Parts: sequence; structure tokens; C-alpha cells
Amino acid sequence: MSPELTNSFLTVLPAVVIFGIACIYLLVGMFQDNSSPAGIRSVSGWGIVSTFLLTTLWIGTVWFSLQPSGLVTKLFQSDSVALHGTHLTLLAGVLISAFSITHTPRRFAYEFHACLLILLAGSIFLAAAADLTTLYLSIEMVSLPTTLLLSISRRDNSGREATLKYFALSAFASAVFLMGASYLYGLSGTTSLSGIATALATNDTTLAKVAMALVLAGLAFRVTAVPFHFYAPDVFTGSSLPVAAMIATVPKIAGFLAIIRILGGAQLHTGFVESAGLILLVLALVTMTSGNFMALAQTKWRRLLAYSSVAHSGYLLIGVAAALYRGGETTYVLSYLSAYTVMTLGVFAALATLTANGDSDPSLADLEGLYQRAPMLCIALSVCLLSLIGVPLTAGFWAKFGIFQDAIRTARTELVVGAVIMAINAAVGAMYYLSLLLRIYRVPHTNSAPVSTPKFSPSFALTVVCAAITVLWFLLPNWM
Amino acid sequence: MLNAIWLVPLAPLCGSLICMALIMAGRRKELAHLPTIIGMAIAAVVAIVTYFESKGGEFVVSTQAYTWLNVGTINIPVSLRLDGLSLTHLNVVTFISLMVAIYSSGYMKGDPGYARFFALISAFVFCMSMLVLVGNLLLLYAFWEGVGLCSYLLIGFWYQKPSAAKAAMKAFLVNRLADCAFLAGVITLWYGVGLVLDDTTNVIARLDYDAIFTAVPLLAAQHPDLLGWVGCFILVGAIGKSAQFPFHVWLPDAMEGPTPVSALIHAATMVTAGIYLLARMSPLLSEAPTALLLAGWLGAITAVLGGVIALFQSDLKRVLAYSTISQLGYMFLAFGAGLGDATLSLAVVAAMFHLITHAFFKAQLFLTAGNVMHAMGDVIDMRQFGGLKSILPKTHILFLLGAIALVGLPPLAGFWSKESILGLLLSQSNDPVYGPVFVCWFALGLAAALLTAIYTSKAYFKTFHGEEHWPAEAGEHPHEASTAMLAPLWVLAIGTVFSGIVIFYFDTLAGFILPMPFLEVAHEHHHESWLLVLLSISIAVAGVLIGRWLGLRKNQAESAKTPNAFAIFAENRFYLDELFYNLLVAPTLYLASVIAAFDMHVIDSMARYIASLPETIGNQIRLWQSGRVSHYAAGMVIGIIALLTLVYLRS
Amino acid sequence: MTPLTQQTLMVGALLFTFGLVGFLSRRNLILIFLSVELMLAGVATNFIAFGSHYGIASGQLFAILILTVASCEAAIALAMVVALYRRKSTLDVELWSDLRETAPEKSKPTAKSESSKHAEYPVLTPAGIDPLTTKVPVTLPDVPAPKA
Repeated sequence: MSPELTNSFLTVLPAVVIFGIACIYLLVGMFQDNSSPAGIRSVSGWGIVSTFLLTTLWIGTVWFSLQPSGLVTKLFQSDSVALHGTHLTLLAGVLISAFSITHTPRRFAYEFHACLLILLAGSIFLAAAADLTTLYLSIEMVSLPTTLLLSISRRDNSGREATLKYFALSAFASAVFLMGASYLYGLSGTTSLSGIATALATNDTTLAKVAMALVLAGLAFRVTAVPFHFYAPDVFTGSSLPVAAMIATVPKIAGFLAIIRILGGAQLHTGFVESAGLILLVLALVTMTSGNFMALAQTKWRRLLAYSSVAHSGYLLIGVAAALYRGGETTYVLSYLSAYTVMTLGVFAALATLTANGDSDPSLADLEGLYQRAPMLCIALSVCLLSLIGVPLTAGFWAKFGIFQDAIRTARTELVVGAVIMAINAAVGAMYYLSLLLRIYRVPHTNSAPVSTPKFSPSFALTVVCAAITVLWFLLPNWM
Repeated sequence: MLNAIWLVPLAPLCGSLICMALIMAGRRKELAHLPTIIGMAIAAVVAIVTYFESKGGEFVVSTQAYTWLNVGTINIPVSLRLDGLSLTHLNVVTFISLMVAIYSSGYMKGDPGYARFFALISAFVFCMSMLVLVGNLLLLYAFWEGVGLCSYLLIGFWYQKPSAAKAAMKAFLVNRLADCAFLAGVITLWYGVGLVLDDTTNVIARLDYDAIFTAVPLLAAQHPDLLGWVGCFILVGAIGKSAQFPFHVWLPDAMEGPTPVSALIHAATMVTAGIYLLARMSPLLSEAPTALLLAGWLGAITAVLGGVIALFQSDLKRVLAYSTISQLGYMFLAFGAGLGDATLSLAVVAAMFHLITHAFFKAQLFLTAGNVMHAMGDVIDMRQFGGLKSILPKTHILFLLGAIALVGLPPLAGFWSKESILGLLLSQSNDPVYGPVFVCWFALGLAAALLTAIYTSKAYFKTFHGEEHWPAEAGEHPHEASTAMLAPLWVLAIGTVFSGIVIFYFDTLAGFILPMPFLEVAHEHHHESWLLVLLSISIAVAGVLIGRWLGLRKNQAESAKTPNAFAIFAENRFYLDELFYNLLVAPTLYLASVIAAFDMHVIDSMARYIASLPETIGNQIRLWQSGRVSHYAAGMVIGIIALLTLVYLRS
Repeated sequence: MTPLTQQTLMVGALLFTFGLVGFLSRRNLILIFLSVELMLAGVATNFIAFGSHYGIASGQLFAILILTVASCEAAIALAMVVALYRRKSTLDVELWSDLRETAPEKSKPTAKSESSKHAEYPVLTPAGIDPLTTKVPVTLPDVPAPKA
């Protein structure tokens, strides 16, 4: 093996390992009899094994590659974005597979976890991508297993509909992205991202901007930016809870990593940066505002969370725009993404604890007076919700603070205005999160209890863990 | 080894968290005292070991745990600072807390809020030890509010009782008022230090003690007025927390809380935080004579006022509360004595000396009062019981020891510390500038000593001597307290008896605290005047005799006699609460009602309209979410076209 | 840029646009996925045109990659078409719109129609007509959904 190939292999070793495990799952699963009692009993085993393996891998990654090597090969590169992206994906992976221990679909246990692993591998590949080909294949490696997960985790009409919507629109978005990518290739004559960045450093033609607009539109679908967000609420509603939680986090991580990879190259042409920044800023403002406004009008938990995740994408896009102006310093975006992942998964895990099966769709009123029945869970859930608002004592505060500060530091009028609008939006967002909290703590008027009183379960533990991470993060911001 | 000092705040914090977890889990709440006591024991042991290892003196160590925040010019490290002063106070806090926690495990038994009590008291010890240990004025302020919060929660511990809830609110608000001044002082100081040190790199480190003390001489030279204001602001903060005139009104009401809380927070530790603050800031105060003068006058007035009011109270705990106010006044008086040339260091030592002895005997008195209350079925009005000597023999001895210490008879603790304050005042009486003031304060101090002796012995004789009777609530046979409640009292009694004489003769305190960084040390040591000793002993004896006469008078005789105007006046605490109510609270409430009306009718309707706007818009635009794939795709295409147009227009 | 490249690019853009319009206007599931394939074909054409313009093979390679991924997508799409058809006995995508914002309660479109004597196989769904107003002419004997 040539040294270059070896190095390129080492960079994405976690992804390769995960992919290998997924293959082993598929092979082992072939001999699994799903109908026998032993097979049924072993369903949750897949989740446990996944969680354990991913945790080991995560610790291993943290242990061995504390510093990015800075290596750039034809296909992959190892820099801080790759490293952070790997950690972020593994963190999300650990949490999601722990989440799905009790929510694994019985008939498709091993396929479910294999798909989960493959899309995690895709996200890691994406973080390290150095070429348009790897970037595109990684995106598809995230989106195709997501479709399968949607399809196999929920088998009723809603599940079918969610699968259809996600798949059709995702294919459409991929095509749009590819169209932009083909023009980028045409401008630079190379598929390598650094080559494209070099070409864009001197090239400021309309074609370059059109290409960028198409690429960003395609990726905007992945990060649920308005008006590419339409699928999100429907898919969140029509999927099982762990899959909804996964869709709220991993494709979004992947989408932002892709945007960072494409825009975060070398020094870009100023005129080009201006237009890309403008696109991102406009997308960000529209996204956060309409996401928050629509979340306010919701009566169901899942749809509310979907719109809330749309709004958070808006905040993240502000961070990306600021990073673009500041020369590709994306630390704050990535740390916002990890905080967002933890707190969103915490809320979803709490919902999963409260609902008997992963398919139910509790309305906001169902959780009224929850504190009377489950004080511990309620406090953990409240911490996650407060973190989504971004109040101090939670990770969400540092996350918002970082983005806000980054935007202000660019000292550009439009971004400062954007930061102010973001602050107003955070206040609007606080309105619905706080009304959720109010409902949870209010004593219900009726004695009916549509939501079961939770018993201890992995998702219960996950909520508590997420809340604990959120608070610890606030106390130790420099360690994260 | 020094890093072990982190255990002092952390162990009680863990104890508190465990108690909260027990409350959450809703089981094994009856074991809540264990984590608390273990946490406090660890804290106390670590504190005492560090004390003996340190040998005092120039022992200034900062241990930094981690940098909480490092964003741009804001760098907030969390570090602890160890020196003689903080270690001394720390030992008082941890030791008394441990004793009170053990006592409480007996006293609070069977209370529905048992676990909540221990969670709060652990949290208090965490905040208090952090308050003592931190090396930055801003962090000190944070924990200053922390102990205030714990105090609020513990005063209102029986929140179902309206009087308790009210008292908690009162304590919190009065403290808040003083804390505003303190905060103003902190901010002014921050500004001032920034003026002279010209250190713009780290805005928070300006409030480190070292930075402040380095800046003080420069400030005194360049901006003496500013320094004077800072001193006064900080003094106001201190008198708020330490319940000095005119902020003393909250402390007697705070007795609504459980008795161990009164002993720990409202006698031994939290209320002495004001003294600690002044001692800590003494290098600053030495350049702010106005603040010291004010401290002396307020202390003198409070000492006498507290004594007079205590004389006319019939509630045993309230007598002790006013006594606490009066004794804290003594400590402030000591700071006043620091006005003279380079005697502030001696004043600090005298104040800390009295703080230590007072912590021991006042905690003991409160806890024995708790024993009485326990036996009397929660009745604490001294008119309803008497002659308890034979019923509560051990409690009687313990109370007697505490009372003698408080009265100031040798060789018990109170005598020595009170003597050192009065002696300090007397030795300064020929000061050219402040001489007459010192004489005046000395006279007031003696008067307060006489009053102390009178009300203490009155309370003692009324409770334990005379005709044996008790209220119906106590049942047929009142009984002595349990071992858990008596054992810590015996331990405290050792301190009550010996702490004064040990500290006085070995002169350990001055050697330990005095080489305080940045504080000029006075080398002349005042000599005990035998005349003064004789004078104060005779005053104490006279006071005790008067008190005995007052205490053993028949209740009938007392009630038959028409009370004179002064007695009514004093019984109603000189109508100070009413004065404050009419002067401060009532106008504020009136103003508030006006603003509330404006708020409700004008602001609110506007706010409600604005708040409803997003939801209305959201309700409109969400209808585009029709559920159809083709509509969604059309939305995306519109988005793409919009982006392309944007790019086109831009270029 | 040679005229050939320009013309090829034009073809690519046209293919993409046709696909896009088809995606928006068709209501038949299979046609929708075919439209996506058309868009991808346009992209592949673009890549090939640029590749030949620069005289390097990476464009052609990318086109092959796209075709590979497209075939994966087609596999999933066809599986999904079968699964969806089993549920509602029609390929009309507009019938899958139960998940949406539900503020005004409209009557939901029904899959079953009373005339069940028609053909066994799906017929092409007319484009752009609201299923709420027109009867859906097709249906199969209801195949029970597989039990999960």
C-alpha cells in the first residue's frame, strides 16, 4: 500500500471500523431467527452492542488522535474539522444507539442497527472529505440508510408517508446539489475541494455564484433551512422516536459539515465570499424566524421539536456565515452542533420514556402535570429545554454566546443585524419552550393521565445523562 | 496537601446533592443526616489539619482549580485563597456546623422536611466556606448572596406558617437592600482599581484581593474620595448581613426558623460574614477612616440598643437574637477602635477573637434554648415556664456555662474577648483626634456589658429558677433532650469554657492572623489594665444581681404594675419596624401599585399584542405546509429561484 | 469553450430542467422517481461535458459514480413503490398527505372508491388535478398490510 493511501486510510479509520461492524451485523443477522423467542429477546442486544462499540471507538479516537495531523490526501484530509466532526458523530451515535436499545424494531433488529452504523460512518467520511466525489458519496451514505431506517422502523401509513416524503425530496435535493457541483467542477477542472477553492479564489463569475447557490440549496435541505425544511415536521411525526431523534441530529451534522467543507477551503475571492455569505445570512434569518413562528403555533411535541430544530439551524447558519467572513474558523458552529445534539436527544429520550411505544405522538396537553408523576425525569427534561432556550447554567448558553460573539466580531453591519435578530428570535423561542415547562409543572385540572408514568429505562437514563452533560458543559466550557 | 482544601466546600456540596437526590427518589429520607454529617466532618477535619499545618503567618496560598471561563478579556478562574484570616474563620464555620448538624439529627427528627433541612444546611456550609475561601471580591459577592439564599430558605423552612414565610421575606428584602450598596461598592472598586492599575487585559482579576490591596495605596493618593465611598458601601453591605442598626430588624424575626438554624446561621456563622468582610477588606478600610468611624458608632449604638430591647423581650430566642445583635455591635465597635494610628490590625484581631468566642457560646445558648423548646412542646415564651433546673439538669448546666461566658465573667470565653475590645478602646483614649470619641464608645461598651449581664441573668433565672411550672403543651412530664442533642453541646461547652483563655494566653490569634498581607502591623501591644478588669467584673456581677432580681420577681407583680412608657417602647423594639414600614415599605408599595396599574393597562396590552403577533403569523404561514410532496418540492424550487435571484442581483 | 461543450452543457441543463418540471407536475410515484433520474442524467451530462473540455477523466468518473448511486436510489424507489401501492392501491402521491399542518379540518382524500371493477394494474395518474375534486378511478382488491 502506498504511504499516501495508508495515511488517508488512517484519517477515516473510525468510519472504516464502523462500516466493518455494520457489515458484520448484516452477516450475523442473516443467521438470526427473528421469530424464535431467543431472537426476540436478543433484539435489544444489538443496541447494547452498538452502544458499547461506539463508546469504545469514541474513547479510542479521543485517546489516540488528540491533534489533527493536517494531512491532505486525494480523498480525505485530517484537520480540526475532521477531528471534531468525528467526535461529534460518535457522540451522537453513542446517544442514539443507547436510545434505541428499547426501541429497536423487532423484525428488523440487525438491519436497523447496521443502517444506523452506516450512516454514522457516512457522517465521519463526510467530515474528512477532501474531494467532491467523497463528499457526494458520504452525503448519500447518510441519506439512503436514513430512508431505510424510516421505512423499517415504522410500518403503518404514517411511516410509509414519512419515508416517501423524505426519500423523494432528498433525491430531488441531491440532484440540485449535484448540478451545482457539476458547475463547480466545470469552473475549476478538478473535483478536489482544495482545487475548487483555489479556482474560486481568483474566479468571481456569475457561474461560480450560481453554482454555489445550487450547492447551498441542495445542502440546505440536509440542514432543514427554510424553505427546504418542509419534510422535517412530517418526517418527525411519521417516524419512530429514535429515528426522529436521529434525523434531528445526524443528517444535520452531516449537512453542516458539508457546507463547512465546501466553503471552508483556502482564501476565497472576496466577491464570492460576499455572495455566499449573503445567501447563508438570508437563509439563516428566514429559517430561524419562520421556524420559531411556526413552532409557536404547534400543539404536538414532535412537530414542535421539528420546528425548533429548524430554528436552531437558523442560528447555526449565522455561525457558518460568520465563520466564512472570519476565514473559516468553525469552532463555534461545531460546538453549537454538539450542544444541540445533546440537548435535542435529551428531549427526545424524555418523550420516549413517557410514551409506551415509539410511534405515539403526544400532544402538549398530554404532559400536563408531569412533575407530579415523574419529578426526576421532569427536571432532566427541563434542563434540556432550558438549554435549548440558551439560559445560563446550561450548554446552550455557551453555544448561543459563541455564535453571537462570532457574529459580532466580524464587525460587519449585516451580520451584527443578523445577531440582533437572532437574539430576538431566541426570545421568541423561549416563549414556546417556557410554555412547555409551564405545562409540565402545572397541576392538571383533570385526573386523566394519557401519558404513562415512566419506569426506569435506558431512555430515562439517557435524558438524565444528556441533562448532566448540558450542565457540566456550562461549568467546564474549556474542556469541551 | 493544600489541594485538599477543596474538600472543605466540596464535601458539604456532595452531602447536599445526596440529600436532594434522596428527596427526589422519595425514599430513605430519614437517613438524610448521614451524608450531611459525614460531609461536614470531612470539611472540619481538613480545615483543622490545614490550620495546624499552616503555622499561620505569611501563609498566603492560592490554589486554582480550573478556569471556568476564558473568553477574550474575560477570564474567570476559580481559585481559593488560604491565609490566617480565612483559615481561622473557616475553622469556626466548619466546626460549629458539624456540631449543629449532629444536634439537628436529634432536634429535627420526625419533621416532614427532614431531608430538605439537611440538604439546605449542607448547601449553606458550602456557600459559607466558599465565601471565606475565595480570593476574589466578585466571587465573594456571589457566595454572599448564596448564604443569603440559604438563610432565606431556612428561615422559611416551615413555609406553611405565615409568620415564617413573612420573616423569610423580610430577611431577604432587608439583606437585599444592604447588598445593593455592597454591589455598588464592588462596582465602584472595580472601576477604581481599573483607574490606577491600568490593567485592561483581565477585567475580573481586578477584583482579586491582591490586586485590590495593591491598588489601595495608589487610590488613596489619587482618588481618596472614591476610596471613602467604597469603604462606606462595603460597610453598609456588612451591617446588612451582620444585622447592625438600622438593618437589624430582620434578625429577631429570623428566629421563626428551626432553632439549629438560628444557632448556626443567625448567631455563629452567617451573620459574622459582615465582620469577616471588614477584616478581609481592612487594608482598604485603613485608608477609609469615615467608614471606620461609621462602623464604630453604629456598633456602639447597636450594642446598647440590642441590650435594651433584649431586656424587655419575653421570648427566650428573641432575647438571644437581640443579644447576638448586641454582641455583633461589639465587633463593629472593635473596628471603630482601628481608627487610631496603625491599630486596625489590633482591631481585626480583637474583632475576630470576639467572633470566635461568641460563635461558641452563642451557638451553645441557642441550642440549649432549643432543648428547652423541645421539652416545653415548642413554647418559648419565658412567662409560661420556670424552675426547669431539676427537669432539665444537663441543659441547665450547659445554659449556665453559655450564660456566664456571655455575661463576661472570668475565666470563661466571653470575658477575654470583650476585655480585649474594651481594652483596645481604653488604650486609644488619649488619641489626639478621636480621643473623646473613643471615651464615648468605651462608656457605651460598658453600658452594653451591664445590659448584657442583666438580660442574660434575667433569662437564666426566669427559665431555670423560681417556681416550677410549664405550659400545657409540654405534657405531664417534660423530659431531658436525647444524647444526639446533648453530646455536641458538651463539645461546644469545651470551647465556651476554654477558647477565650487559650487564645488570650498563648496569643495565638494575633500571630496567626496579623501578618496579613498589605496590612501595616502595629507592634505595640496594649497592656491589660487591672483597673479595667476589676471594673468590668464588678459591672458584670452587678448586672447579674439586677437580672436575678428581675428574673425571680413574681409574674403577678410584673403584670399588676402598670408598665411605664419606656418599657412599652422597648418591648415594641422602639417601634423601629413600624418606622421602617412607614418610611420605606409603605411608599414603595404605593408607588408599586401605581406602576402596576400602568403596567397592567398600558404595557401589558402592548406586550400581549406583540406576543400574539408571532403566533398569528405562524398560524398563517404554517398552512403552506399542506402535506403534499409536490407542494414541498415547489417550495424548494421557489427557494432555489430566490437564492439565484439574490446572487444575480448582488453581482 | 468549444461549441460541442457548450451544446452538451445545454443538453445537460435542459435534461435537468425537464426533470425538475416533471418532479413538480407529475403525481405518479414512478414518474416522479423517473424525473429525478432525468435530473441526475442532466448532471451526468454536465460532468462528461466538462471532463472532455478539460481533457481529464475525473468528470467521466463522477458521471459513473452518479449513475451507480442513482441505481441504488432506483432500487429503493421501486421497493417503496411496491410497498406504497400495497397500502392504497394507487400510485397517486397526493394521497400520501395525511401528515401536515392540521389547522382547518378538511375532509381527507380517501383511497378507496366505490367503483372497484376497474383494471388490476395502476394507470397513469393525471397530472395537476386535485384528488379532492376528482374520483380516483383505480383500485385493487385491498391487500392487507403486512403485520409488523
